[in-house]
Amino acid sequence: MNLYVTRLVVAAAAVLVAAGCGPAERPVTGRFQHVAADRIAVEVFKADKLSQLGEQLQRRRVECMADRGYPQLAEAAAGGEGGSDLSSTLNATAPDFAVRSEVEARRSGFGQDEPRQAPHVLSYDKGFDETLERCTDEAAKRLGGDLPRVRADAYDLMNVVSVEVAGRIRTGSAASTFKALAAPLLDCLDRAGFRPAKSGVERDIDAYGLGVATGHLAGADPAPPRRVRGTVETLPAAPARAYVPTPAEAALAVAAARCARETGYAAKFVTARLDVTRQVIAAHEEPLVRLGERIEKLAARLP
Amino acid sequence: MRALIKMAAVTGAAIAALAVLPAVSASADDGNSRANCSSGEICFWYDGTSRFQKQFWNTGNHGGNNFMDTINGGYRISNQPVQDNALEVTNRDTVCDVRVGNLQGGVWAWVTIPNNGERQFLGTINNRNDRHERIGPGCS
Repeated sequence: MNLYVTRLVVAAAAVLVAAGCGPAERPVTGRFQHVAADRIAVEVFKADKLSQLGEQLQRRRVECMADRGYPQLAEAAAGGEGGSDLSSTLNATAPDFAVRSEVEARRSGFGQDEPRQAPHVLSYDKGFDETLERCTDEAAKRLGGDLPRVRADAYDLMNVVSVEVAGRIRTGSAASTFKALAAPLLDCLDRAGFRPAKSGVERDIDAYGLGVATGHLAGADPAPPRRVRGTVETLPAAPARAYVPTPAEAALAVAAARCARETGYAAKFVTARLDVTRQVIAAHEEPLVRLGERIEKLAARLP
Repeated sequence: MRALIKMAAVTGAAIAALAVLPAVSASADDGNSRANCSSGEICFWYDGTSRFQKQFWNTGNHGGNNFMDTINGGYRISNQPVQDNALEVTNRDTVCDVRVGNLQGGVWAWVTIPNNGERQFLGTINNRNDRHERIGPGCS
């Protein structure tokens, strides 16, 4: 086993111990059993405080780099727009195709426009890289020496929960529930003249190609980096780009949006996904509570 | 299981099966087009070694991209696709966290990777990777 698998095994073992398969720990309290679908990221994972800590870490190391003669990160920090965050990963939401309006589906199929992106710094300079490491260490010490470890542990636990939820939905204990609630949606698509893309496969969301973006982004790709050895390069801000679906994708997306609305698919999906998520969270309650305490302790030190 | 087999079996005949052949990468994003994971890049690894690697500097879909083969100090495109074929990832983005996703049943399952430069196993979405996104304020 290499180091990385070992690290995963150790993390999994720690979760098992915390779940009661080791020395006695505090009892499971069910404190998260009523968490709302759109509050999981904040209430269970303290994602808002984790983001604040991450932003502060970034800010301090950017200042440190500028002080040491590397202003590129500070200059690039004018910011882009929007962007996904941890809420969209952790909260119990319906698939995007099921909540789009038919107008949105016709315009964007199953894809998404790309917002304007902030300037991006790439380094081919060892001095920059070494200084960035030192600045990261110094920033972490000022915020709380174990901040990098807390962030890494938080993300590990988020990933364990996220993947376990998806696994139960796909092939695990909740698969039959999700299959049953998709059936009216697929029947509606059949009536609209759509069929699975391949024959002989199981009749499910994937077989119909729902949610799969097959189009392209309008406009030119950003210019590639110049890649000059020994330098630090700031790639310019990239303008927003519209996503253009294929005609077939748009047609399917429109039908999927209509069928989802007519069958109440989104609400049923969220209810079922929330149920699965609460079960998985309950199974990891102890490490989640301890992680939350570590995050709160660090966040309390923020100015 | 597939992940462990991949880690153990990149030898002899297995290497021959991964021979460098002309291939087309649909994406213009090749990071800095040099081997190894540089500061600012998001890097994917085929197995537990560093031979087959793919770098990005931006958000992107994995379809249409192939791993680069660095055998004998080279850096040439291989015939190994990145999609559903990556074991590990390193996030050296200087600003953003990254999440790597698998789309199945209309639902995205994501693993989120902080920008700490550590090489990480993709967990149970290893060899199921479809896309990665830079996430956080100003990141997309």
